[in-house]
Amino acid sequence: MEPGNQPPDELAPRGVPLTGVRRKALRAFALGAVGLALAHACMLLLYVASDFPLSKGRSQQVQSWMRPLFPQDWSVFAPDPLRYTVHLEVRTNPGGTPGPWIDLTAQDNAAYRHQPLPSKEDQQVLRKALSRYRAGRPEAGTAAQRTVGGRYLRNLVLARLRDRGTDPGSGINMRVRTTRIPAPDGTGRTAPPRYQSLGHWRVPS
Amino acid sequence: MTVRQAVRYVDGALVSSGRRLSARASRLTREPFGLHSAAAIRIGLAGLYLLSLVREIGHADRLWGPGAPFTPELFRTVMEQRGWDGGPLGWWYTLLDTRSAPAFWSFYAAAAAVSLLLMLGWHTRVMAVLFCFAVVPFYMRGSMANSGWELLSLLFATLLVCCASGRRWSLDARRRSRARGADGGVRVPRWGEETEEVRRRAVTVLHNCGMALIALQVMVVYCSAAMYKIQGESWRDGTALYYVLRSDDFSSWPALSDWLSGHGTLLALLAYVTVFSQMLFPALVFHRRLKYCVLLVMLSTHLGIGVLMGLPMFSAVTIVGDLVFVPTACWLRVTGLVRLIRAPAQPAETPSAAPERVTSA
Repeated sequence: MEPGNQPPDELAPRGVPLTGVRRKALRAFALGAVGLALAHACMLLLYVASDFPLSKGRSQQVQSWMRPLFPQDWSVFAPDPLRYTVHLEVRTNPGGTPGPWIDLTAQDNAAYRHQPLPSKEDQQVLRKALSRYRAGRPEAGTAAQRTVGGRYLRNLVLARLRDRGTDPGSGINMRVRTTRIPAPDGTGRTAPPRYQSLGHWRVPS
Repeated sequence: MTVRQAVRYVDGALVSSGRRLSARASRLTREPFGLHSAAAIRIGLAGLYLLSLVREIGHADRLWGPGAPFTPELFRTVMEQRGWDGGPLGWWYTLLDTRSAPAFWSFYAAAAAVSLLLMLGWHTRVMAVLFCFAVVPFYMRGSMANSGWELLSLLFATLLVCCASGRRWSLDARRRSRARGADGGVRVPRWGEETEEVRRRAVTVLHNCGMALIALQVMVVYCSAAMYKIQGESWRDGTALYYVLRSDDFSSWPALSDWLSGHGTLLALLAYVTVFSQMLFPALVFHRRLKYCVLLVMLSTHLGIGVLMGLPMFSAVTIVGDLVFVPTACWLRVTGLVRLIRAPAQPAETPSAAPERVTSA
């Protein structure tokens, strides 16, 4: 740093000597601020290193300090990026006969591609809703659909259907199509997609 | 070396390092560090937030508003499950659970206005507090689709409240320099010179703590990202970037991604560069020269992520965060250069008008 070359900062301390109570007050404030910063630094490190033995013992305190204002999640593409693509497909049942499967993920992909500044709604919302629903679902069948993740996913899919002018009717079917990304050395190139049914979902009227 | 010499040596080292430490501690209260970096982060962060609010106007109702598939009821349920609806700050976290469209859009417009004013540096500290006040409810309400960009903007917005980010490149700074030009002398506030000095030193120590925490946060981001990556097989064998590029969810330009994914050796090399630069970031960034190397590597990594993987806001905000490590001398050189380039067009002295263009580059 070369303070000599800096334009003057007229709000910087001028170095007026302090005496008495003012000096004490400032010292207390400075110690408090630095102490708080150090405490936050320790909490941050303990929170990120959640497998560290010290963090495990103090997890309650660390959590209540860090959440919800200082969340941390830096596992982007880690430990491994997904090796398959996941698409959500949905089907309506107009007049009791099942319609064609509609690939909602492909619809989103088409919307966000070739955009320098894609909207979050096209790029993240559906993917995150689906992975949240699939991750937090120890319950089977309709019990899972009644969880927060389930109701959110259903609302989201219904909104997407209405966007494209499809009447969802009284119930919809959802399934997940998983396609393996062929390995870089060319093996597994012809693996067919796998389907997982998410069941039948009643549409609230 | 005899034992006595060794003891004297250690003793001397302790005394001198103690003295150095106390000198450094007193600098903490007297000298605000990185004022230009703080201003650059302010401009970048608030500018990006404004950009994202403007970008998402058409989607805002669905993302944070009354028309969201994540309905106000579901939002409230989640906040209750996490235990964040109560407490002294619960009302703040759940501010956006409104069913009223006018209320939502007023908040949206106010958030955009605050972002703009913070970017310009108009009553900067007040705006920084209001900005943090606005960012948090959006983060909470959008918790179903938050990613790196939302996370980092939340963290920086909170920490920036502590920083004196309006000292440079702001309307405040311009107003001050004009006032100084008008009457010349330094005015003593009515509470007296000594109290004013206490206030200034308190502000300074707070600023330095805030900047240190931003720097630590950036280091934690990179280091923990690297720690997660080295657990993965694909980052070790160098195929990770191949899978990222072939993924449907992160390919803004599929043709370009496909073409790149055919260059295995290059991608493996880039994967290793990514992991090692992130891992070593906290060590390298304090070195006088290597700092610029690692910052440039980070810049190019993030430009790549921003363009190829459709995550421009995340890339941009990490680049803004990296600016905390750019030393004041470097900012001064850059602004000097810009002034030099602009000199023929504007011959007279314009001390604080130009630099805003620098940081947006």
